[in-house]
Amino acid sequence: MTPSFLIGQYISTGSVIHRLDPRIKLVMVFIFVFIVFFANHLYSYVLFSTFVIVVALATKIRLSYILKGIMPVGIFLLFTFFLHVVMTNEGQALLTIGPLTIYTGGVIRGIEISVRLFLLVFFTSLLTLTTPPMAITDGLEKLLSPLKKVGVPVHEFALMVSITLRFIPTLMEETDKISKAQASRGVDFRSGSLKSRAYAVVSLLIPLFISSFRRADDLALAMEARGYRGGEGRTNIRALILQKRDYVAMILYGLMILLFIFVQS
Amino acid sequence: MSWIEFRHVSFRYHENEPWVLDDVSFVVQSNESVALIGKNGSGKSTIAKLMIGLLQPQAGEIFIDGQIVNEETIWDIRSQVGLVFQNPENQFVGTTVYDDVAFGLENLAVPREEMTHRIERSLQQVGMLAYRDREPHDLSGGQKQRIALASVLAVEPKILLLDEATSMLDPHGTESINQLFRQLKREQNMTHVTVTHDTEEVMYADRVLVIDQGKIAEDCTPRQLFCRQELLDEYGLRIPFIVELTNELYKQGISLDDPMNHKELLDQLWTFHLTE
Repeated sequence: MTPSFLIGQYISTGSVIHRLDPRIKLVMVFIFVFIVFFANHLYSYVLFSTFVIVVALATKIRLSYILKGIMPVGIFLLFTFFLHVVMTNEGQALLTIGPLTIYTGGVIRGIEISVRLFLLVFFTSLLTLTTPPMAITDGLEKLLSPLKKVGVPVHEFALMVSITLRFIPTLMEETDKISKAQASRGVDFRSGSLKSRAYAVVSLLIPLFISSFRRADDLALAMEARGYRGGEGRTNIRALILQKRDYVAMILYGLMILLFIFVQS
Repeated sequence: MSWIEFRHVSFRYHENEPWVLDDVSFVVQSNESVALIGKNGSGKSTIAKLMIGLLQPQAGEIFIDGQIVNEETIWDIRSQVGLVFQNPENQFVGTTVYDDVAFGLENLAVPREEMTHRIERSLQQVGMLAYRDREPHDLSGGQKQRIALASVLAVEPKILLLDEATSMLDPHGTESINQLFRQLKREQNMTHVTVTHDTEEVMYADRVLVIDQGKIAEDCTPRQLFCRQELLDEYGLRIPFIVELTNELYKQGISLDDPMNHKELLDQLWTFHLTE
């Protein structure tokens, strides 16, 4: 069992995009999510598409792999497209099927929304493909650290996420072990009615929960024994220091946004 | 110079339960290596937890290096006492080996440059430097225990506590951890306390404390312990292979001079006819 589908599909190629500071990448994605919905000009879409494709090529990850990763979202995209096509009553009528009339405005709108969503998902997936989950957590912790002043437990949250990530494979292994142990005792997980299968899962969940609590207890003791007492007065081994490439990336990104504003107006 | 002193320490988990430790007093000298041995439930692990302040005694006092262990001093004590637990999986905090070794240092607010230096050195000591970027699920139990040991060594404690650190490992992992531990004993000036039920580990200690029903039943050297068959039987301890072999040889009319490790045994065996 590989835990990859749960914790993002990080692929290491060592490209320059991989080496960018996670904070920069997070902020870029955040801004992108925001501005992509302001795009309403053909050239804006061309600009964004070019940008996203250039970044994708720079990651050195195979394009087919990236597309495969966002396939599940495709159904959602198709659905929104048809919804817009059917629901919009603008422009010329193209054709009528029964009670439904399809207008040109609807088709344009559908395409626009789909392209925006596609760009969005594509760009966001580049973040998770090029950044290990731990780096994303670190980046978020650093970005959100001003919130500590108003009492938001940012450090605790980041530690929680990192411990969760660390224990996913452990718990997967344990689930596998318990399900085999229960199967050998005659529990049937694969056949029978939905109700009986749901009941079988209980025999898996209860031991899993009990052992998780025990682990949590042990881990808390181990952390305490190693002097952990919350985020106050702690140093961090993972240094996030902006490099030259980060500044270059910021400038390029800024230029892209300026170009976008120019195209729009 | 670091020593441990228990002064009339009593402990129980709940008020209506019997005492887990009942008026226990002992002293461990600095740089001494002491094994705590006893049956399950004898209270030996509780002693380890008390030493590092994870539990507080109901009566009596514990001193580490002259400093009393209480709520105010535990953080200071924990930077001086390193504890390796039994379960290799449940004491691995970091997402990678490197992060895990860093965890204790981060807690002590060690500056970053110093941290990198110390992490590398301690990983080197346990022979795991090549694994620094590995994730815990890629490692065997024995390797995880090595990392746990490295995490503790990075903090540079004066006292090293092992609480049944090998009991969940396979024989190969156990042997490799024991070897590493013996090597550390030779190379470093540290006080070692090993909590165990494995008599093989005891043979390498300077002194043995046998814990039985919350009391110190015996305080002697490993040699003295293993010479007295009735003690081993009484406390349900398994006889180490070397002692068993010596005893059997004795029955065959070959008397050896109580070897305490494989080297002594071998030396005595191959020189046996020479001395005659």
